[in-house]
Amino acid sequence: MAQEKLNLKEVLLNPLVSINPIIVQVLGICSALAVTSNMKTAMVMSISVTAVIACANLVVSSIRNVIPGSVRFIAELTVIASLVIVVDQLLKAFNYQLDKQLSVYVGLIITNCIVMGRSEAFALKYPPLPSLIDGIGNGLGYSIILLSVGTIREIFGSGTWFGFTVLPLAKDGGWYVPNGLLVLPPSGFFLIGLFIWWVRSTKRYAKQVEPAQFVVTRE
Amino acid sequence: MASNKESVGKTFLVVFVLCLVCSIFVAGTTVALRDIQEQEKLRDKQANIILVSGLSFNEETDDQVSFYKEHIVAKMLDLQTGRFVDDAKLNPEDFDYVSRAKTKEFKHSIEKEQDAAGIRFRSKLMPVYVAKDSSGNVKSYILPFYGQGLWSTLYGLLAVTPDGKTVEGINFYDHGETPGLGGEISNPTWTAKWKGKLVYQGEGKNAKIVSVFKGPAPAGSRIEVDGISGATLTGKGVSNCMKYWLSDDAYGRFLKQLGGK
Repeated sequence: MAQEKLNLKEVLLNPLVSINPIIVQVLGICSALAVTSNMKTAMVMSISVTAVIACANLVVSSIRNVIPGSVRFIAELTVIASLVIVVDQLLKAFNYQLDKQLSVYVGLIITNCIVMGRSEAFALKYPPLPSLIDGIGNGLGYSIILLSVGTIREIFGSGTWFGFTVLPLAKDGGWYVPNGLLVLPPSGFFLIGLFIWWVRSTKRYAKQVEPAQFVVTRE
Repeated sequence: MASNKESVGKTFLVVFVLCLVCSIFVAGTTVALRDIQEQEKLRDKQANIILVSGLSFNEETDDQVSFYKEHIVAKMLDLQTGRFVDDAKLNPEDFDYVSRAKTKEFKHSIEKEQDAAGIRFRSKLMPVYVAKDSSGNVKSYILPFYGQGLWSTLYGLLAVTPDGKTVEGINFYDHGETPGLGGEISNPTWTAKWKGKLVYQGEGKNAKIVSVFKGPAPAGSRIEVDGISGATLTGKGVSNCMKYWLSDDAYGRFLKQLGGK
């Protein structure tokens, strides 16, 4: 476990775009589809996930030297699960309405691969401070995608943004006929697909493209 | 340090301590937040009752707590006789009809062939919320009900007009159906379709109870509500709830007495 010098700024900023957990590492897709049909749920989910990743990374990293290798998954999961339950309880107490809307998805943060992935890949190897920053960075990377997808879906799917009318709907006397597909989960899938395509096809991030697995040759 | 941390004893110790710390942390938060959560739940219930009552409530200018106090009266209803009972020992506001149904005092077993909602037994007494408008006239009676949906128990409120003949509103305040499919039963656009439907239609053999149709309801039907696509089985659960709770074994007697006046 040789510790190369970490550039904390890079640890924080890289996950935002260039190694974004959703569009480059393709983790945590499930919740990104489920909660992005409106901004309020996307926002609460973003904050919750960021808080959980950051705290989980911090805790796992501070006990990384005492966790036996044979049970490290269980230990990480125990920490993550406890944090998620606490987040769920806090939401129930302070924003009951939103908690009801998010229903199972708050509990499902436990299974969000980003949280587990960062504990396993980063927090077990590095000291608490960089781990905390890595957690915040990845949480923000997740949030950026969630909020962008949420913005597009809510504006074009329901004509509102955070509940405020942006495009007056035809049924309420306006002119905009909403696109019903954007309210449904598959649209989140299409939008994330487009983001992935866009990031990977820009020159700056072209190095993200994997080498071709097969080379077609004529014999 | 690295050498002995893999031993069996050490592994057990670490896991034990970790679990202990985590459980204290989780249990501590739950206990500390319980009061606030209960309060939020009650607030949410009151909000649902006001929403379903058909009273005009302005979220921005009206205070929910005082509005509720002013317009909503909760009473205990004896389903057997269909009449309100006065029992000073019971507080209809926080009468938990689901858990009370299990107690000896209140348990009423439902005959198997009648048990459309799949709940087996219910409480003998149910709280009914009477919504009154500003001049003191009854606007609606709000009847709580519950029953099996597809995955979960549906908990809802049905508001009927003072003559007990027409639906004023419906609202599901708790359920665990699939979000986006069965979960759409709590979508206001769908619940709005219930307003103005008849509670009962026809006599004898042709008697019908308000229900959810599979697919769009026949044009002009006053007893069937459009089904939600992708939620046929949840819709069936809602219909089953209506079938039981509006039958003579449940609110039927009460509603017929309202109509008879």
